[in-house]
Amino acid sequence: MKISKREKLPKGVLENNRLILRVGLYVGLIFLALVTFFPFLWLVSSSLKPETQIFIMPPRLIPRDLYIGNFIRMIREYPFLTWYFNSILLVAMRLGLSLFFCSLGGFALAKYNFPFKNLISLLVVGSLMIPFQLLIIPLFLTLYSLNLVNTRIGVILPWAASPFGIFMMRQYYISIPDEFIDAAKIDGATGFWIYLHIMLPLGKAALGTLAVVLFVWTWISFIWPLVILFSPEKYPLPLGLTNMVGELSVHPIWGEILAGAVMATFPVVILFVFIQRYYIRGLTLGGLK
Amino acid sequence: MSKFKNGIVLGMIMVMSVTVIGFTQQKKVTLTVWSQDSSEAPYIVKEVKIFNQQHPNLKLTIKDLVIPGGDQPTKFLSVLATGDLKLLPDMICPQHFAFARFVRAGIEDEFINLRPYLEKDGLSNFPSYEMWMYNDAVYGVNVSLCAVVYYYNKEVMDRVGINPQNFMLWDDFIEAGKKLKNATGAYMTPLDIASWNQYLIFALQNDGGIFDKAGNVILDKLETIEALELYKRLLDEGVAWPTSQFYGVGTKQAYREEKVAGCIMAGWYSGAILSSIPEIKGKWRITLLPRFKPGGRRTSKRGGSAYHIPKNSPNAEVALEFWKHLQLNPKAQARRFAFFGKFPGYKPAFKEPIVKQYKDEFLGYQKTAEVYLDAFGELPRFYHHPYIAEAFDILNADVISQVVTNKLTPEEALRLAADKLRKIIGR
Amino acid sequence: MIKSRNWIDRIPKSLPKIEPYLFLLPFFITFFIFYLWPVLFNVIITFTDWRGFHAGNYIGLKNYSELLSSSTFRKAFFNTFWYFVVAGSILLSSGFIVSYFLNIPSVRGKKIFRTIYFLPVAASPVIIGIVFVVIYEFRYGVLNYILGILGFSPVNWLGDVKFSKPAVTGLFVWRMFGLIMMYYLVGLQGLDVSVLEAAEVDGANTWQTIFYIVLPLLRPVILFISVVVSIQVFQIFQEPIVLFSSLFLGGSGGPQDSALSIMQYVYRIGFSYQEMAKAATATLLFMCVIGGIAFLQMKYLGFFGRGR
Repeated sequence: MKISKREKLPKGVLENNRLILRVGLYVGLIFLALVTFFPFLWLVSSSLKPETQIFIMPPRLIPRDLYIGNFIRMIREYPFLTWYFNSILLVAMRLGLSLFFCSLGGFALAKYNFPFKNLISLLVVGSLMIPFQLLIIPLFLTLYSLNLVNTRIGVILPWAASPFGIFMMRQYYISIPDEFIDAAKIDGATGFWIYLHIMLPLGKAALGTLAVVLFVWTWISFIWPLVILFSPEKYPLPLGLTNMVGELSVHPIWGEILAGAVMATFPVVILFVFIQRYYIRGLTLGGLK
Repeated sequence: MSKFKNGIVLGMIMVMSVTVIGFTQQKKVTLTVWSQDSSEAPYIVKEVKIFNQQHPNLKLTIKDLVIPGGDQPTKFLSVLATGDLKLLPDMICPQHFAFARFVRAGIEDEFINLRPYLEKDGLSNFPSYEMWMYNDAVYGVNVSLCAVVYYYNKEVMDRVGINPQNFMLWDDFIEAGKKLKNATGAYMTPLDIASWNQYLIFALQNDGGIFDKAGNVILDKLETIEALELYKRLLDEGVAWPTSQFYGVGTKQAYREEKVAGCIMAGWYSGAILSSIPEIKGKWRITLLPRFKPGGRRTSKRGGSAYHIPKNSPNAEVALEFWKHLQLNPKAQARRFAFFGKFPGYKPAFKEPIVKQYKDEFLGYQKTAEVYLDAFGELPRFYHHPYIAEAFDILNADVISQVVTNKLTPEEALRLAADKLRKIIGR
Repeated sequence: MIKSRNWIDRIPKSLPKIEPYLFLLPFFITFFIFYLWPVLFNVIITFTDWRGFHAGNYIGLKNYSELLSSSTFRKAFFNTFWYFVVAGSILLSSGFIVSYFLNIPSVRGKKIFRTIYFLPVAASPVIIGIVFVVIYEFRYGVLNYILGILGFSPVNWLGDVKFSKPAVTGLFVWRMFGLIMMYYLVGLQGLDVSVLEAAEVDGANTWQTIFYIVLPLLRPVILFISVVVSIQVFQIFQEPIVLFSSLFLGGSGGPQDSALSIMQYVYRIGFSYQEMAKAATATLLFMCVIGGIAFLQMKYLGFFGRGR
């Protein structure tokens, strides 16, 4: 995937509107978009084909007829909507907690000066490095002692104050000039007021991006829900979909699995499109003027 | 008159009460079962109904949790760590290589030793109990047969004048393969060059393998080496189609295009892979493998899963009864076969009409039970060992690839592998 | 003037000193309850032979010595470093370049491009792995089909020792690119427009603007991105598994383990061989390395101190 080759164009002569370079840029962007989009094209087109046509080689991108049987069967014959609902619930809980905790913590680390600040920052980044696999059994024991086994809150609680989120907000908040806050402090505002009325609005784009990242991580997480949950009615999407892959040894259900995967991407995409409206240049800095 | 009526009414009430009391004394049990995938639950639910009919004093329901076979030991260990018996499942069903993890963690004795029940039934009825055996205790039996056969495209073979049913030795197979190659350019079978997946079939067929019954490493045993030499010969003579994605789309396409006209694999292969290729429906058949030497085996093994019963689970006794119903019962095994299409790993089940007279529609209505019954008595033993996972990884990384690319001869590769494995175990 | 509408505003002025600690309280709580004990547990068991249930015996530094002398461990480390250098540099550079272009006002269709580039992040890794296995297929795959049209001979992406790492890198970069681009984009969004305009007025060409103004201003964001990308590359785990394992076989590290990553190796030791203590040891060693790298990045990119 040699992306970098395409983009080694002389930058910024665009302002002078040289046609060739503009065209070159668009060609590059479109090529990149094709490369990025192609696997999804395959995914979507396969989900719209009957089972027997999915794996014919070479792959045929436009299906002969649009077949929605896979989608219908997925929703009817499997607890797909239950899985979906559970995943949305988990994500809502996770975002509700994490966005608040992380932006608050990031603010503290970015704009305050207090003893142990650097140590705590190091702890935050250090926590990022801890790979999850080995924490499974001791973490399960901890949650068991808190009586949170087989609960939805138990699925997301260990990551409520995600160090990733705190680190991210810290770095983006550092970029915000101190003048904003100094002005407010002179007027006697408390930290929480500053947080609510300055940091949150200014950090909307970063917070939006964090929301999307945490959404995705919660949406696709598999191992922890698998270990902590004991009721099939609480299973989120990854548990449901991945467990169907094993059923393939009995009868081929690729169509349903792919249809499920396609439907699973909807919320993230919708959220991302929604977040886009924060990505308008200059909006974040309007406040100073 | 009214006294008589009263008497009858009273009598009826008494009878009804006794009946009601009798029904409420029916023990209600919910078994928690961890299945590998979502296909098992519907079958179990049906069996539960039949079980309940046969055991009127019990009312079983099943709570099925789908947990991939490879992750079941992890979840089981986390549950065990809490010491909370209520969290323990009543039955779990992982794949064969998961069992080694239980032994390594030293918790295989958390499961019920099923050997006494197997012996009572007759050990020879179970050709695969050794895969779940440790220290002479047996903790599970294969839920299906998993015997290896040679699938072949009869149409293609007929056109070229080959009949795989007449193969006596592997040499015949190779001769026929050359004939096929010359005539149509097709191969006799795909060959997995990325892992031990197919090679092990040959090793076991020839009485080789990874471990013997006593737990010694037999990777460098003559028979194991011979099997690898055959494996290499299939490649060198051009009769096998090398692939590193054995179960992938490329192989299916090769079948479709008749570029590969057969496959050496276990019984579940047709349901799992072949059945998703409608173009070859009706054209393929199965037969047993050719022998290594005159009088040798004509089959081998690949894969398997088994039910284990945690002995401290709340409903262990009932689970055991249900397990007996599932595994030690020809009719239940025949029903499993009817449901999944995989032949039973229990000999008496082959007498059941559903099994005996089965005609496989996909394989041209061949009476496949005859082939598998033939295979039953010749299945080799695949002894597992706590360190089998390391053995698999060594085979993958240090043996198959080197032999295929001619970096090492089969003998060199296996000797090095055996030494490496012994060193790891010896530590 | 700021009106004190909330009860919070009536809290005495002496409170601000506790404020940062209060704000970080959720982190402290979750850290101490959910992170500290499991991590300490793992550190302690590196000196034992714990296997998941029964108490382990003390074996001193045996795990460490066995690991460091294991050729597979070294192979996994080498592979992971390869991923770090190759995937890391591709992501860091291309992410910036593309996000820069998508930040230029005169470029049309920005939203569509951003959404498309972001899509891979939304996909389930297991399913996408299956799609990529089809793409990378040796004889019938899409990639080789295209290569064939361009006149190249087919490449055995998943079966050749030389190409297994590039294949994994391709999948990994494909998945992560959109996210990295977004991080950069948000950073660029936060830049003070007036500074850039002033530079243009002063006659700086675009090249100079980027190197002397934009990048330095983006330093905190770049630090975040490089630390996060480094950590995530070092933790590559699912990509090799979905590409090289099959339904009936379990995880594999590619031909001759040429694509085996450190986390894969850790998972193998811990969850295949059930040597959880050894897996913890491997994790600890690997965390020292990634910690060192992250520390260097943080120091060089101004993590300590206010950075402005």
